[in-house]
Amino acid sequence: MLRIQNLKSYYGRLQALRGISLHVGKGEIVTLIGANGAGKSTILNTVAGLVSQSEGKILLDGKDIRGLPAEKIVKRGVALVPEGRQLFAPMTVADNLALGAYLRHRNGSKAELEQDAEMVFGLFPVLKERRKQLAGTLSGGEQQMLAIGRALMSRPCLLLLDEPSMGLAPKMADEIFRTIVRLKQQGVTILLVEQNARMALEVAEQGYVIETGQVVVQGPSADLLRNHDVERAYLGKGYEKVWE
Amino acid sequence: MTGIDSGYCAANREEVEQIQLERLQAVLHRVYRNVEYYRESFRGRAVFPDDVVSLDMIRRLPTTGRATLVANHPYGMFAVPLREVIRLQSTSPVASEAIVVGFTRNDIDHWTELAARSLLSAGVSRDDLVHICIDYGLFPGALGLHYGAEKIGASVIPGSNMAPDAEFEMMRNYHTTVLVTTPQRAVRLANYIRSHHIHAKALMLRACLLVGQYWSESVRSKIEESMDCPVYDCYGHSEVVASGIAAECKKRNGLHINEDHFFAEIVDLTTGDTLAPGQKGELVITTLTKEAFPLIRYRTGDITRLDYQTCECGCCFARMDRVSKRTDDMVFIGGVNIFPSQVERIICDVIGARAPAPIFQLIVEGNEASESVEVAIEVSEAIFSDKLRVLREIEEKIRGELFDMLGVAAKVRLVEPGNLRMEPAGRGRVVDRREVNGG
Repeated sequence: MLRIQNLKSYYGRLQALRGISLHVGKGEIVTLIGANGAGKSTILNTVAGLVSQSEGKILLDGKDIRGLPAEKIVKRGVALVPEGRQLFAPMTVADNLALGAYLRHRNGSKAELEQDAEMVFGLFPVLKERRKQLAGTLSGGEQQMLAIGRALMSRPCLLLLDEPSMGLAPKMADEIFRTIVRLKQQGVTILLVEQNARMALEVAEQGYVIETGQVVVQGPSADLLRNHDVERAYLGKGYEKVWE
Repeated sequence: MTGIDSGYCAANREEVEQIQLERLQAVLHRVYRNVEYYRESFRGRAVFPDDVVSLDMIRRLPTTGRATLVANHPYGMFAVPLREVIRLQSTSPVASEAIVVGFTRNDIDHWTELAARSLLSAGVSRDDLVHICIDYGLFPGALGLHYGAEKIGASVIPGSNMAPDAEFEMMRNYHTTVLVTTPQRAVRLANYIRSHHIHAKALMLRACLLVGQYWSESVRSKIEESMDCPVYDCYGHSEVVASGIAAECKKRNGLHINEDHFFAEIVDLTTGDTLAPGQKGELVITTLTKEAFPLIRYRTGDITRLDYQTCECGCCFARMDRVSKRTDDMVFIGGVNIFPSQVERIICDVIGARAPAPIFQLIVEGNEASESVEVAIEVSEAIFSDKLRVLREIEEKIRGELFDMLGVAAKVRLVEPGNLRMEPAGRGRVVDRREVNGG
């Protein structure tokens, strides 16, 4: 479904991605893991059309979407749940969700939107209880649920999740991961960036280890869980010599 | 990726190439970071992992030869610290030409999966009883196939060096359904069955996989006739993985290369240039998933041809022709790779001679009973003595060293100068008269 070849991204003169190739199959969860600053979020942001300078190919169902404006990419079925949620804090839960369906708002039917909102409430019942509450007053876990719910309102075929467990209590993080699995069961394809490598690899089929803007290991999650580079990327275990 | 019960079948060429590109880029980054030799050799060509933006660009990287592995022995080519390595396999017993290959836990698991695929494509299932008639110590590929058969869930009998009558009795009594062995031993068993006028249906074999040595099509028909089962070829390489790189499917129309783990190219023997698909040349392999001992553009020395047409079986992995020739004069004896250069070194060590090296010939003969190896050496000044006893002692000493170092029980014979018919350029040092090779 998503196929990226030799993706390079720049922030001004700084090169953040140095030729990334990866793919996500339909209905799969694929995770990107790596240390801070490795370029994981940049990959998601570039796919979502938020990074203006890039090279390479981002093929969504065979069509190159690289360089398209963000709203056109959303229209093609790609939704980003950004790092740190980025909700509209002074607005209500219901309004935040409605904004997620902004592109369909003008020509879509109201009944359809309500139906989608019900689907999100079905996934996160707590949001229904708080639908009139302001987003900024929700707990961290609830905010994350709202951020995911907002992305789902655009009816994405590909969901980009950036650090969904960040800053959450372990119990809440578990809940978010259970939701990720449920979404996959509903047929949503997910590209997941996570600091919590172990949890991410447990739900994902495939994984990529990113180091300084390059992929150093690619493979099934089970292989990555046993790979020393994964350990190194996470625990900062370095080595100087191979016979050490 | 499909599960192990159904085997692996790549149906879409585009998908295969995407995975190959991703894995190629990842392995290049790994070796560039972790293996000094590759870092230096890439720099020497002013080509960096970032430059490889397509599979074709791999041609810009230098090839790696056997000599490089020898020069960086023991751990120079390892890409992980030794504590990550759970198995070490020495592929050459001679100290001065030693190569040691390491495997991490993931490497062993991948190898197991690849060997399982080879068996599955020959139709082996969990209901089979797989008899592996190979010397595990001499041929490391046996271990891979053993793990692979167990992974499928088949019952496995690990083999040993048995006489053909004992082997036959065991297979008949235990109802062996799949025989995995070397061509030499398969021929020996076929001859036994023939000479004792045993009916081909006496064994319950459904398939026979031959590994570890080259063999001719006439061997295939001979074994199929006497054992009444299809014979499949399975390709491995001791420095890559000794079994499971490629295997024949039921169509037996070339060996499917496991392209999600290996990137294969064919290069011209002399220029080293990559040849177009369909042309014959030396097989060059890049390992895409190996962690401990990755190889970039490794020249296997095996001559073959690649076919990228989708096979009748539906799998779109490239197929290679059965290997029947090598670029060098390496010879398989009892599943062990022997290079004449190793023999030369042993002779030189014994007689204490420096250049020019003595002229010698390795004569391999094989009949139904066993293989026999004779090393004929022309008497040079360094060897010459008028005492017969001294000459006998030299013969005896070389014989002992050959056995100790290479594991080969060879007959050693000193001959008069000019008695060996040699060809120019060091060729003709091996005379292979074995039945297995169709000769």
